[in-house]
Amino acid sequence: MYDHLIRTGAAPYPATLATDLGLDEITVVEALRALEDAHALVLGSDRDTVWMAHPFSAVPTPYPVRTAAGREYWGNCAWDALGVLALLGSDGASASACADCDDPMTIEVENGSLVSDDAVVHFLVPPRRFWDDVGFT
Amino acid sequence: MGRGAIVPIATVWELAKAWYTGREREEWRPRTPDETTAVFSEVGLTGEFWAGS
Repeated sequence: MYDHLIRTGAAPYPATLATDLGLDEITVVEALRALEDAHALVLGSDRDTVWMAHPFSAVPTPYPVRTAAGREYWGNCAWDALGVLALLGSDGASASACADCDDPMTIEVENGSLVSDDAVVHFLVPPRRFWDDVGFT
Repeated sequence: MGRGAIVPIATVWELAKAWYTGREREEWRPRTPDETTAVFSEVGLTGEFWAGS
């Protein structure tokens, strides 16, 4: 899953995972559902395809990430946008907008450090409730 | 639900590194509530909002 996401920027379909892993598709879907139940990933409403494999989103979000090498991904939130760079051990940037005033803002990491620390992130949902509605979180 | 927490971006970067480094590895497992609270605490996020996760 993560190998594919990191390589392509997109989540693999169950059929792709089945081929890659030498399994049948039903087994893969059952495994994905078990991983969702364990809070290891989030599936779409069809419960067949991956929506979130934190910190990555499989669908476009307001938090795009572009690495210094030019690879492009989507984070689920500001924390996850930085999480993508942390996971990859890569410099890069996320160009989004302020969630309060909607002004454009870019969070950039260079040489492993933030270029500017002039921003804050609002966490609305406490961690103990992250998974009550993870899409809202 | 309360108003949540406002966290400096520098702390969020530290949290991103603590939380997601190694997330792609096969041996990764979801954190227990105590482990989750410990990661937040490591980067200075303590108090009722961050506790008991």
